[in-house]
Amino acid sequence: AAPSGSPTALNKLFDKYREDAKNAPDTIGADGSMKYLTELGADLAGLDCLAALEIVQAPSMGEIGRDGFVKGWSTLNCDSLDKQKAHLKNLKQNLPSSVEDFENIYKYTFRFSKTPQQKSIALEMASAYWELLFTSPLSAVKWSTPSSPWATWWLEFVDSEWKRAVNKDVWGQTLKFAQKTLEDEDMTFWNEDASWPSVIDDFVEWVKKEKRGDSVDDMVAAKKHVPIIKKHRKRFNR
Amino acid sequence: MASTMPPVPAKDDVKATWTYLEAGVEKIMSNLRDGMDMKTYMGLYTAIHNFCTAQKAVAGTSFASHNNRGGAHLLGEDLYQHLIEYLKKHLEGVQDKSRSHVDEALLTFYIKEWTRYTTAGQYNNHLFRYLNRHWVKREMDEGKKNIYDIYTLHLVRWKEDMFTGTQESVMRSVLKLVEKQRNGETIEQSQIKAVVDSFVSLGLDESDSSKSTLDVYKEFFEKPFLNATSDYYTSESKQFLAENSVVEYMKKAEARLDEEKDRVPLYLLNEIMTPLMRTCEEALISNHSQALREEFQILLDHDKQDDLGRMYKLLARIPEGLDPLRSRFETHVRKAGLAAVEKVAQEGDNIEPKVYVEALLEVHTQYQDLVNRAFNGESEFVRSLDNACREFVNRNKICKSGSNKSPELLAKYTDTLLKKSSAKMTEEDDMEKLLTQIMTVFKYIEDKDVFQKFYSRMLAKRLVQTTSASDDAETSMISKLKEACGFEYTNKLQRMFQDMQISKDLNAAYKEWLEANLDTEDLKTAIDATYHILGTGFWPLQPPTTKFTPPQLIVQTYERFGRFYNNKHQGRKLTWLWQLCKGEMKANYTKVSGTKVSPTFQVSTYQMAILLLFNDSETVTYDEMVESTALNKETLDPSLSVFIKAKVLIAEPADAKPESGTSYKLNTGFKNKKMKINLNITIKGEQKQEIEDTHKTIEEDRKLLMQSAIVRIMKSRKKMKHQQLVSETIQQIKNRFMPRVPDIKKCIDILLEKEYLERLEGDELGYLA
Repeated sequence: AAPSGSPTALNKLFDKYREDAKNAPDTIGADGSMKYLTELGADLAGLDCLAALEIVQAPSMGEIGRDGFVKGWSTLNCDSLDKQKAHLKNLKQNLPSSVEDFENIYKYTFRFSKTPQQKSIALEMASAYWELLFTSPLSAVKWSTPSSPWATWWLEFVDSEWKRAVNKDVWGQTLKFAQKTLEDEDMTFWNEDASWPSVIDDFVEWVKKEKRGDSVDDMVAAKKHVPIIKKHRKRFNR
Repeated sequence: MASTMPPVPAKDDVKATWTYLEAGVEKIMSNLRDGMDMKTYMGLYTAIHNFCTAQKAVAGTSFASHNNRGGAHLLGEDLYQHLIEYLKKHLEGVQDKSRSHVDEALLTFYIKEWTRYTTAGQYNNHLFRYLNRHWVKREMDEGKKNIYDIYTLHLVRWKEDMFTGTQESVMRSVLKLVEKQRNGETIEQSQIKAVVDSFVSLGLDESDSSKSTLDVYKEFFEKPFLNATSDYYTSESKQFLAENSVVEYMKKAEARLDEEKDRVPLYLLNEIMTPLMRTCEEALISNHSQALREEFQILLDHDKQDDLGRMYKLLARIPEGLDPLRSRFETHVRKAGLAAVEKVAQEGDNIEPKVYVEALLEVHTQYQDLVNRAFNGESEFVRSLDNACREFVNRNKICKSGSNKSPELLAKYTDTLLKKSSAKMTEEDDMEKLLTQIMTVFKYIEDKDVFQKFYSRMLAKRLVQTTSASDDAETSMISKLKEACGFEYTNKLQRMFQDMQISKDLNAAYKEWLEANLDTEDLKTAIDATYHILGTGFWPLQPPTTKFTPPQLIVQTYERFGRFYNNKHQGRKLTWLWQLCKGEMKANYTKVSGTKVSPTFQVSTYQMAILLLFNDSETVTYDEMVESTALNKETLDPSLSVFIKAKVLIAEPADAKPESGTSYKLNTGFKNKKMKINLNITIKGEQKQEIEDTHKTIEEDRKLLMQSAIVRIMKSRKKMKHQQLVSETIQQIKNRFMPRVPDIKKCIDILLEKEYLERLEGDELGYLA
């Protein structure tokens, strides 16, 4: 839809949270951001906070730009704090079932966590966001099943085995991999020759060895079971 | 003769005409040998002519004249039908007589009758040629079935009235005869040939009687012949194998196949060659291929080349006969190679390169010889040999830690060949042969980059230390490598040679310059020195790892050269590789035992710096050495230890470690019988370190090589599926080393991170310029 929220009202609202009109007229700093998010009703440690920041395309933690703020909210036709609050409330309800929204937030999180010059983010930061994104009750991709606590495994693996900064490719492929594992817990979609980054390959091996204790026989058995499981799943989907 | 003939008939009287003709025909049939006079012959011919041209035939023959087209001039059917009746009756009699004969007598009879009958047929054909030319021709032109010219009619009748009833017994006799011959008896083979010919003659093309086909022969001769052959050899081979070894059987089968092949031109039709061979092969080879193949391993184990050759030739004759042998051969060679390595691997990592390479070569030579001699050098077996060799050359007990051990040892072996040695120089021809052998192993090496690394390091040493035995041999080796791996592979090696040549010219120029610019006094005291100028990018050499203060004595000498060089090539920076420099020092304080001459010490520059300190004082402390030479401990200690071992210096206190507090005294009582004493010895530990360093740089180089290959591919393709990229990268790199897929993926990861590449939809990667 074409932007229809009043830019004037939004600019006014923006000015309300801006701290330094003289030196940084188009930026809401850390304090202002915190205040704004709180008044918006966002849980500062929750996924909804990331969702709100995604709407205004905040370039980094504790920084909201005027352009993003006005463009983001006017597209959604929310030119007052009340409207914005209502929108966020609504979003919170929909998030757990909206994979598309989640994917946008996931992608945005990487841009948001690094400076423009950086090509990758520190593993610690990446891990913190992964935990939030994959385990939040609001997440549309809760990376865990009754038999496989994937997110826990993943965080354990990157922390103890991989220990490197996370680049854009690894970040993006991790979500893709997570979604695949939720469809196919036995990971039959995976093979060494496919284009997964090495970290995923290593993780697969690690899960098989450390978490599942697969012997060769088990792997064969698992493979044999797969088609049946898949069939069932399809039937349930219908 | 005319008296025996009936009276000449009226031209339109069928009965009379035939009676007249029959007498003539009968004469030709049964009594041709007595001949026929011209008059009778002409009479007969005329009778036919007259009859055929008569206005109308007299009725009252047994043959209805419904065919008698009103007004037609050409009559003949009556005669034709009469002749048929006659032939039928005649042949009935012949067939009756045949029943009293069997076996060879039957054949004799059959052939005799056939010859007589067909000869007569030709005469009759001639006699009836008016009928042929007119009535028969017209009937045939009109598309009438079952009308033939008179000779063919004879054949048709023979086939119907004689052949059909007798061919079975005739063939039985033929096959009996052949079996006799197969059993080694002498037979009258011309009889069989005659039978074959007669069968062939009976092959009439129904649609065109002027042509013949092999149908009759194929059906009634070839088929039973092949069946009998199959039966004969099936039972013979079964029995023979039950009583004899496979090796003996192969000889027998080979002889039998030759025999059958020779049989064809003797009395069979050439057309039978292919099916006959196939039948024999089936019975003699295919049916026993299992037994033959089981023998293969035993023959290999005992290196029975002749028998293997025989087996190859036999199994090569049947479809897919050799496939199982190829894979067994491959396995056998691989095992032989592994066993050979195992045998020499007792010494572990200290294995002599020569011993190792020779072990590899011996296996290759043995089996290449076998392939050439027993397997006809067939390309598929060559491939099996290559596969096996590639396996055991790259993966064996010595290569436990990785396939890079083989190229290392091969490069070392090459080095020992190309290095000057005290042993007698290898003859040029032998050298060429040895280098060719090295290339044989090289061909199988997967990690060609490892070989290159070691080779270039050792070549650098040979050149710098001038220990290369022969320029020709060096050049030959490089051109061989170039031929195998291309220009890029040997580029740096060739540049190293160029540097050496340039250095030679430079040294000559420097000498001239010195003579022109130094006064005689200076020239006298100048130290005689040679310099090698080596291009940084081409030589696998690193700057010294230790600080070093060169002894004052040589400073002027090398600085003077530096000035000369910089004058010539402004802007170039010279880095002195002290660790590679060496010199000779005269030990004036002592004499070679039993002479009045002082010995010469061959030393490294570092050692020179140490020894020169003793010109000022007979005792030098460790600390003083450290201070004067600035050498680090890792370099100083081993250099010193050589002096201690050779008793040039004496440590004080005795056996003290090289450390602060230890002093060294010049051993003025040094005794030696040699004029030249080499003290410039590399220590074992250093060598080991060098090898480790080399391997480490290889890993780094490989990453770069893979990345540049990936970038190169992506640059030209812009977009590519992941898997395709991986396989293309392997293609491009595998002639240097066998890259592992996970390693390639790691390189892709790096390039993604560096944003040379981007990930696109559907497993595709894109190139970012």
